[in-house]
Amino acid sequence: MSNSDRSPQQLVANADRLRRGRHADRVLSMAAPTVAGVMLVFAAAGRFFGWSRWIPLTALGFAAVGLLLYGWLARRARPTTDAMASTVDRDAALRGELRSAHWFEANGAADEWTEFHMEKASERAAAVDWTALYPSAKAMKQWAGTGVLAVAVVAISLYVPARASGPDLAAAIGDAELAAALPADVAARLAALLEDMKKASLNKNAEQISLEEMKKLLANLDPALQKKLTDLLAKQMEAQKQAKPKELGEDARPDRAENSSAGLPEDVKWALDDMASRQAQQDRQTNANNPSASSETGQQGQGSQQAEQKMSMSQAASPLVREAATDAASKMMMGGGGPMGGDSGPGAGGKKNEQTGLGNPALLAQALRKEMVEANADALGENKDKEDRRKKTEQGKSTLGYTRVAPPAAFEPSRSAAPPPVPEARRQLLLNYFIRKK
Amino acid sequence: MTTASPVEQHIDQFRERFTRVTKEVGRRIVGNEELLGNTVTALLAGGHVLLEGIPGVGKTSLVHTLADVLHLKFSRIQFTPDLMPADIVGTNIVQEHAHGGTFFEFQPGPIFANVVLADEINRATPKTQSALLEAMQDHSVSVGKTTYKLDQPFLVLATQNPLEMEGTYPLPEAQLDRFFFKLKVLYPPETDMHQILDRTTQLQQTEVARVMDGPEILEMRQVVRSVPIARPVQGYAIRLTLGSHPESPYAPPLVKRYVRYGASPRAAQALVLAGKIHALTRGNAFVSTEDIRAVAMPALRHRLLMNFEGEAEQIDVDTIVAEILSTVATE
Repeated sequence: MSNSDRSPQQLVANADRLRRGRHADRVLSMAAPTVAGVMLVFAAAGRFFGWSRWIPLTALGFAAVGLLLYGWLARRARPTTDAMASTVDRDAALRGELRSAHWFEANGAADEWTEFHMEKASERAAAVDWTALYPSAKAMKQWAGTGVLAVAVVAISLYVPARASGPDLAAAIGDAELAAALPADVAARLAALLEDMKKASLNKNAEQISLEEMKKLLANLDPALQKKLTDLLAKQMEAQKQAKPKELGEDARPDRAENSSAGLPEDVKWALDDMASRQAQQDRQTNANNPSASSETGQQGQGSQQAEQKMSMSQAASPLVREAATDAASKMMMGGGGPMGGDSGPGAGGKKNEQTGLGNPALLAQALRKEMVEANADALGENKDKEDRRKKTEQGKSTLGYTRVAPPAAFEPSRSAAPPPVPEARRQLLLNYFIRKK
Repeated sequence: MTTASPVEQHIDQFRERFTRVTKEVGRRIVGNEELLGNTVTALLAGGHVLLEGIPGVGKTSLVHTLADVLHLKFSRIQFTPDLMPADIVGTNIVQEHAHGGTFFEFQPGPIFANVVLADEINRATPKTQSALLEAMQDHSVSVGKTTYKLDQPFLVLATQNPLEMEGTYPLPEAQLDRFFFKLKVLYPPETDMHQILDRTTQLQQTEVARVMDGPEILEMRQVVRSVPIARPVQGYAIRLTLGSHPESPYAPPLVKRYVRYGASPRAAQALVLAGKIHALTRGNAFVSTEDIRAVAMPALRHRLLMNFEGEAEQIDVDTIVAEILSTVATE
């Protein structure tokens, strides 16, 4: 061991580094299994919720880097301080010798006594078995557990398929072998697409986009498998076309309308209502020009593809197409009478008529909301100039001024009000009270 | 065979002499090893000692024995209410020349000795007590226009009785501050009483040898001042001193509540010097915070002035010093 290694400062630095390293080892041996366990739960949750498999792996990597960084920071060399020397000295039971020698070396004090002191301190400190004083943490079980957990995180992330969040593909296509042959993400996407088509919740454009996307996915698959899937999608589309008129019946619409508009802000709902009513108006005009496209019951004719598409779009876009199509609100706003108004009947909305919807409270509410939308178009601040002009005018006309009138400063007895007279009925009583009888 | 360095030789010699003195005094004084060690410590630090204890516990015997062991000039002053300053420091008397005429000649008082026993110092008036101030601090005596230096080593060992309040005058703060240590002479335990009786009630008296002289004491004082002290350790001594001041941030709650004035910088000097001697007696060439703590009680206890509340509640000063020691951090 060289003299520089045995100097009090170097001894303190080495001992303190060892102490910090051992402490960090203990902390890491406790923290690492916990972190790995959390990562395992995270990876399992990721598989359950269908997150990307790289998320838990990345989190595991970050956690490992963080722990390693902590260990490195704890072990790195630092300039020694008196507090460090004091701690090391106390741990080694050197009774202040190393701390004192450390200070003298750092401050360059050199005389016979100081040199002797530093030399003795170095000898005593070098004789200390620092590795025994700061033993390494016995944590084989913890580290082994950490390794097992980390491997489990990787295995779960890489090899456990994500739980299908949508409908079961095998049930949807009726071919378990085909469903099993597809990759998990393609299967999940395909199942979702089939479900949407079955429920007819997609409009034509969305359907087309989804199909294009699916074709891209299928392009990477086995040709035989690809053909099967293409046939399957074609069948499903045909079946959907046949089933759509029934599903789009009057009875199903209100529920769907409620569901699809649920959660939207009120102003968005109103805007959708407005858009839907305009779309319905356009459809009515189209139907009037082409009577064969629709019937009075609302069922769409087989030959009117254009009308079918518009209806489908309007239904997908707005929950209130049916109500708005009856145009009850516009009739109510006309004030009744005439060909557009209809006769007044019992109830607030006029004559009860199922076809026109007059007198229906829901329609009245709809009309009222539309009115509010139009009223709301008068944005705040538009009348600001007028208000300014008005205020200026009022200021110009104002002739009133404030003049302070000081109250009388002194009390004048002559101006003070006399006390209220004693009622005659009580006069004698008062006299008897204040005047002592002899 | 390795030869010891000069520093090591100094340390060994110091320890050997220190042990020799305390052992020799211990031949006559039973028990009280700590008291003996602290008395010798004050002697080697160049300070003075105030011994407090009830009558009959061996205060005066201790001082007598120490003077016998040290081979130094010893004098005793019995403090009484009518004692005058001139009775201590000396006075000018008129002398006649042989060829005629008169002149003043200084007649030195009992203060002119190496070891002065100021017995029952609190029985004299403050005026007389103050006669010791210059001697204790500057090791000199001024009479008229002349200042006389006192021989070195000079040590005042004062005793006082804590019980008798009638006819006593408490020492002024300035006087108290000049004492290096205040040592409490405790009542001896039952086991020591047998030895005391054996040594004092038989025909043969225990004789002590003179094991150290003045030059050796002065040499040891030089060794003491050579011991280095690191700044953090010195800082601890300063914090202890400041901790006795009620307005200090280091002061514990007891100090803030019961202490009127804290220790002076002389207390810090006493802590460091006594700490060095304590380190040397342990064979160390450095001072640690342990050394400072070991000597803090006798160095601080007489330097704290209690306030009215502390006096009224009869708070023990040792309790407050212990509180300071337990609260002031060593780092």
